[in-house]
Amino acid sequence: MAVTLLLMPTDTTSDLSAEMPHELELASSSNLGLSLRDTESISERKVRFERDALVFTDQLYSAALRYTKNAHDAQDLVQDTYAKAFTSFHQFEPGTNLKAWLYRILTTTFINSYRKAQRQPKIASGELEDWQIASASSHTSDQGKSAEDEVLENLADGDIKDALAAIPEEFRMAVYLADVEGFSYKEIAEIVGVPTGTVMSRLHRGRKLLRESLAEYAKNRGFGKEAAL
Amino acid sequence: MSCGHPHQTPCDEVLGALMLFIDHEINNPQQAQAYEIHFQECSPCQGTMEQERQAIAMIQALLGRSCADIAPDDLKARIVEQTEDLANQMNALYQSQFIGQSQVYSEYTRTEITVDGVTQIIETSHEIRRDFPLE
Repeated sequence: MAVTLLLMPTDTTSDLSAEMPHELELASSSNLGLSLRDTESISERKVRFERDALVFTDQLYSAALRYTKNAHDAQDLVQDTYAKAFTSFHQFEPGTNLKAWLYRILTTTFINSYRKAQRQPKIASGELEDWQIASASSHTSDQGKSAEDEVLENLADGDIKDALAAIPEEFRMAVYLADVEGFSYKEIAEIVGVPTGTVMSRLHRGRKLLRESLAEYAKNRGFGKEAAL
Repeated sequence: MSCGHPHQTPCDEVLGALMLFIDHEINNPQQAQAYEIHFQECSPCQGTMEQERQAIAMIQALLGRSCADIAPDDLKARIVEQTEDLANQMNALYQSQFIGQSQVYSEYTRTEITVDGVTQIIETSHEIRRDFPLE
């Protein structure tokens, strides 16, 4: 005796094409990626978000500290970033650079909301040409480079953070994104929303300012005489 | 300024692109190779480049060492909680989109029973209707 049971649901039809207006606005985007055709449920999206995106919390917090320069704002900024990231996570294309995507949200959120509350001196014009001219004139003797390195190595972490915090925001961001996070110029351009040439110029100037500032700290700490830069 | 020898790529051009070269941002491989050749030929430029490379490496090392902050646990907890909240709100929104509407599925079953060599086939078809909100 054999019993075979075949159960097959077929033809899943739906008459739900009509769009309903909704009162609830979670984010700036009115479309939350919610449609019956979605293959991923909200719960599945949440699991994917928690698995893939939350691992960057420490890194984003560290960057947020450099941006806002205080722990309270940095925490709020990171939390806002994750709220925006989750409500638009359906727009993130899997397989592309999630870290850069999160940094872009962090950076634009900072620029659009947080910076308004803080007074930032705008940088002078002419930053674009600066990087090209500056290195051409730097064909100098190579004396004292290891001496300088030794001096800087002695600096405390707090001094290094302070030196970075002291350079203007545009330069600070470029240096942080390139030299701590290792983003390429193109990625930084997308994160910050400026052309690649501007990234180059800011990075060049930012590194120069940071080096000068670090040397100043080293001098004040009595780690060496005038360090050659 | 120069070592005094003529080069295929002038010193000015190479020195103007030093940072790009060090950051591996010269996207044209032929150009990058031309700079490599220049550094082999021109020791002053080579020296300047090495010095600049070390200075950048130094900044990267110092910043990497000092800027590795750990997010506070309560921030992490708040983010998890916030994600949960948002997911619930989005689910509620998802359901509310369909209030007053209904969804119809057709289900078809085909049952084949073989008893002692005699096969019997039972076919049924019915519709499932879901009215929103559910429950």
